[in-house]
Amino acid sequence: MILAARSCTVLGEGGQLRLDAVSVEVGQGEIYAVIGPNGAGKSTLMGILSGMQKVDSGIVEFNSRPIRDLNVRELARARSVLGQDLAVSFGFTVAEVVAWGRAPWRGTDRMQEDDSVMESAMRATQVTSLRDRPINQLSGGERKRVHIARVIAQDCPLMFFDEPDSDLDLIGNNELDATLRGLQQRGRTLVVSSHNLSWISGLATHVILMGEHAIVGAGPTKEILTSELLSNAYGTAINVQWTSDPGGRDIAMCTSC
Amino acid sequence: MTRAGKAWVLGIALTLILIVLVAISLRFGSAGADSVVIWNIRLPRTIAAILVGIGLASAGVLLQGSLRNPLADPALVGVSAGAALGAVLGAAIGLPFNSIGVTTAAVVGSSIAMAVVVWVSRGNGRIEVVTVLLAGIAVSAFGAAVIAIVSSMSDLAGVRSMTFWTTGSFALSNWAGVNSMWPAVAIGVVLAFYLAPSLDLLALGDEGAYASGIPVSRVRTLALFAAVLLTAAGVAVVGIIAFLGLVVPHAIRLVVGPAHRQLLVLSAIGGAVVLLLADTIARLALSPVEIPVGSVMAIVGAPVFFVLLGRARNRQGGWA
Repeated sequence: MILAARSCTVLGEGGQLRLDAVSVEVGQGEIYAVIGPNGAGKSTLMGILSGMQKVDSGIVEFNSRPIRDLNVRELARARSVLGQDLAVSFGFTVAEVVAWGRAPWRGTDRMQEDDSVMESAMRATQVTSLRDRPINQLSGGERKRVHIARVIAQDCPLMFFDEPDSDLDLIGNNELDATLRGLQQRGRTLVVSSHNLSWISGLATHVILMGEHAIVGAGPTKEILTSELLSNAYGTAINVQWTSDPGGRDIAMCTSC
Repeated sequence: MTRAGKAWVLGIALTLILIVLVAISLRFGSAGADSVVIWNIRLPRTIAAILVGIGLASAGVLLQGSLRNPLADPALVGVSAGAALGAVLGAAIGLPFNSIGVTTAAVVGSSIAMAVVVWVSRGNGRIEVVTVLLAGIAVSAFGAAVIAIVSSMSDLAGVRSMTFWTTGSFALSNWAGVNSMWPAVAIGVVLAFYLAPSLDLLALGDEGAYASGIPVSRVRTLALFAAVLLTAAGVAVVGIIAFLGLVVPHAIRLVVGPAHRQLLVLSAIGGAVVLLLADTIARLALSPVEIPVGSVMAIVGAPVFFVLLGRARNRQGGWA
């Protein structure tokens, strides 16, 4: 277990509830999906698990150590985060933006790996040929891939991806899928949020299902992606049909009736 | 050519131009060129122009980077007015002009102005681009009003008129002035250079920078304080000069890109070149009458500001 939240409550501005005494554990080397309807608290949960957001009560532990005890630099060596606001001011190039992923390792022995880690991150996300282009001149999907490369270049054991598929087309989504699997094969732990349940069903080993500021279900993907639990969380009848895709992977077709 | 290659070429070119300008600035003027005039009048004035140029251009880089705002300039965000007000109040309680005492008073005034502008412009965890400028207008108007009142109540007006503060002039820059400003400029430049790599990551926004290991509030606070030091030191001696901190970093960015180490070094040299050139024009164009150097800068700077304004507005889809 690399990460655990224990009865964490988060209040928003004005005191309204964002997360209500949430507890969840994240196992080493797995891919966790965070799913649920809009406003259920997915981003808030990602926020407290990644140490980006403070809890009002409860505790989050990274490797059995309270995450609030890690300073900003230690945190950046423990986990990397792909957020949703990816605007970059000024005309920085793709190579410069990817290099920012290496910032937490400045002054350490791991600086020697800077070039090789950046090159392989850019290769994995297929942005190598864009390296000298200003990031603001790229399309939404290309920008997203550059930021994913940056997050991979940060080279942390734990990685958070908040809706990484949101600007990608079908092909981009397949490549993202392969990239994330590759990270898992190299022993990384991934926490991914998305609205694309079919994609998630083929990718994630575990699912955390959110509804109304609380976790409705958490566990192995097949146990959570059921008609009953999803209908309950989304507040509408959802039919789940497991099939195999051409690659032999089990995929859940989720349709709301 | 790579950006690094361009940076070296530009740096060398700017340094050579600076040397030529220094020679011109020392050689020509309304009086003759005897050693007393050069040593006691033109040399301190030339050094003051270089220091203020370094200070304002570097302060522009720091403000733009730490506020993520390409439109930020020490005068436009009200920091300069705060410094001028601090200097006038310092003088009103008896501190001599062109002294470390008045510089300190200017730093205090400038810090307060900076804090007010940032505090007013905060919302939703970000510092709003246009609100910073609007707050700057209000702070500048307030500063100008109080300066006018204080000046009219004491005999300070005779020495440093309202025009001096609002358009800037190197006419009162002597050796005491140089000595009162170089320590603050030196501290500000060193601090800026140290912060530069972290300022790059602030372009990701506060959340992205924090996720990448940058202590965002500390970096921003230090960067704004460095900008205050770099601005206030000059304003206390030469008054408010607008647009330099806007125009120079923008031009340098077009050539070598936005990475802050290069941008800072080249903007500092470029700021010295542009301001020394502006002062030389101000002294010699209508000699023996002197044009306020701030007017020379504004004539060049205002059109550039309009271009940047239009561009920022397009990118953000209007501000209404």
